[in-house]
Amino acid sequence: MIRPSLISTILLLLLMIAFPISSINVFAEAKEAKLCPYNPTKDPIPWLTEYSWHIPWGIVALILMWKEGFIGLKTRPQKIMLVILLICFIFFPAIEAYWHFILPAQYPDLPTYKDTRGIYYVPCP
Amino acid sequence: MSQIQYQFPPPVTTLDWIVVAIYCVIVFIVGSIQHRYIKKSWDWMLGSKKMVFWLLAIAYFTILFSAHDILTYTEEGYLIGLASIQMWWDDIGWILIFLALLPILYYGGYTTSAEYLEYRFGPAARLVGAICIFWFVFAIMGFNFYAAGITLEVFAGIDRFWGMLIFAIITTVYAALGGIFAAVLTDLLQALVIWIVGTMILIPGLATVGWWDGLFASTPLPSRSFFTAPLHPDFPALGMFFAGGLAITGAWYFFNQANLQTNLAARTLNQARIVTLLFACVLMPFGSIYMGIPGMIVRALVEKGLIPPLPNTAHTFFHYVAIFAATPGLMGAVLAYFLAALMSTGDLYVVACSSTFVNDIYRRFIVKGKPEIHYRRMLLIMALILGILGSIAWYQFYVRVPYLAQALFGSTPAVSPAMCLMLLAGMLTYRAAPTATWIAGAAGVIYTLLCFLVPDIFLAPFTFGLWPKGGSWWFPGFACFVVTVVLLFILTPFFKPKPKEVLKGLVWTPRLEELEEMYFKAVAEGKRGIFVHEW
Repeated sequence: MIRPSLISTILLLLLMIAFPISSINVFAEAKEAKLCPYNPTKDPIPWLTEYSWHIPWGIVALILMWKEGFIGLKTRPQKIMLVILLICFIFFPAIEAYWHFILPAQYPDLPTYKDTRGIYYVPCP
Repeated sequence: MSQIQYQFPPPVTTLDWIVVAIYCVIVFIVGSIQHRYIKKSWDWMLGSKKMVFWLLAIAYFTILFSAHDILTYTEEGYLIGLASIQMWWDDIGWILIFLALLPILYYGGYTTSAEYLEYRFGPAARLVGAICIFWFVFAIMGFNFYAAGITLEVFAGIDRFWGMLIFAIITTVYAALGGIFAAVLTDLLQALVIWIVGTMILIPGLATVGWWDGLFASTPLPSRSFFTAPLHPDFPALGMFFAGGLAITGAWYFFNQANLQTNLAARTLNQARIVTLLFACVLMPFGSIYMGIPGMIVRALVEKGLIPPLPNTAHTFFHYVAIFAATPGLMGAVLAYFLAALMSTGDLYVVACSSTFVNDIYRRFIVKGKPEIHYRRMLLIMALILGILGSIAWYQFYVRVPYLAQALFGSTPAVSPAMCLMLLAGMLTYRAAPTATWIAGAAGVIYTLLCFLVPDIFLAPFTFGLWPKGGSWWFPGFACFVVTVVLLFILTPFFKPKPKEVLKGLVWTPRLEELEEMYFKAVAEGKRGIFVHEW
């Protein structure tokens, strides 16, 4: 039997670990004078924060649905639903990782910014 | 390439207003005639569970595709780029856990999540739950009408407050008359307008910047990422996660009354699950391209020097329209598209507001044991009153924060964590004790209220040093989450849980067939579900 209270505690701990790490950027920023636009490809924190919440809940949910019989390997509807849910479960974290870590670096950076609103500056690497 | 010349605000001709008027009349008639199918209050709220799944999935989508989303995410697209569509893609954990726990809500026969909380934790929990639902629905409905007010201000020069009220009254009247039948059927019409016109105005924009390659190559590096910086002063990734991925998404599936009613109106449990899957994994990601992308296109035009930087980013969508759709007739279609998004969301929230009030507060705590016709009348009356009140309740907050997204995500999901945690605790574990749970939930709600009343003291500690920047308004949901979780853990050991025998059907069980048997037996006896009797 799953222990939801244990899972919630682990989730909470994961989140609590992710937050202090994420504040490193800001502390470093105060010491540096030269700033560059934030480079997402070098910072895993946003993606990790997001999925330290979604992945554990997704796993819990898949286990519950397996035990209930909504997904499984016995009947055709069960297999179809299993495949659909697994595809969804893999697709969303994967596409978001691609859009965060890979896509931004695939295009050359602009030399100048005519309107800088919305761009967050951090210490240059 | 030469500068693009365009007129702002975009000109609206008589032909455009005729197109808009025809559209409004059609929607009003289709919505209002559904009144004759309403025999009982349950018909009004859940369509008597006779709705087909694909129609419900479309209705689900149109609830999300709202006027305020168009303005908010287009502004975000301009300011932060690809991260603007994040809110439409960050649901997977919540989707799956909602699918797993849906049998409890579906077979119980509840109309609202608050009703479930009463059976699980007692009347106090139901009251806390009803307050959470109200908070969420009021805020999101009000923001939807606020977006309409901004639109009228741009196009007709009417003050946004009065514009907001005009739209609130129109939407409320037809939704009040037809209930969920009206909302779902008009949503089909509105979804068609959204897809057709949305595509018609998106393609010229993409073609101008050089399709996807040209778009990404023309936007700054951080604007190409799916996430912003963790502590961005206005759009912090951490805050966007707390307000979006954690708070509003949890609320979206578990207690957004408009969604839940759409889901529970399905004929069978599996159809209800397919409604959620179709919406969350197909329609919503697909729909996200209509949201942030126009803002990114405008940003790309600015970066290329083709248009000057926008003086007011809240008007990004209207600048986009002025550049790419300012031709007679098409402009009317665009206004109809915007109205479709506005009314398709507003109508279901009006239904949701009224259902929650009558079902969870009026009938439960104020006037008990009246004939069915009395509650049906109250549903109509309260839809009219709450629809209009809800639209203006948050007005002062919306006009004070710098960006639309901060207003939306600061207000709407603020108390969601309290409600979601009460529901998850109730559905996932026998150990959750009624007294501990409702106290923790109530404390979360009260603390969140204090965050808005005295933010320097109550909100600031939860903003990772961002206070008093605009980005702080992404964090009230986090404050609520921490307070509720901490109290749940501290209080639970001191209170006695209910015995397992009385929790059958209220806590998750692998024996679904038992639940089904109980449900069909209850339905055969004329009840709404395992726990809830027909009124």
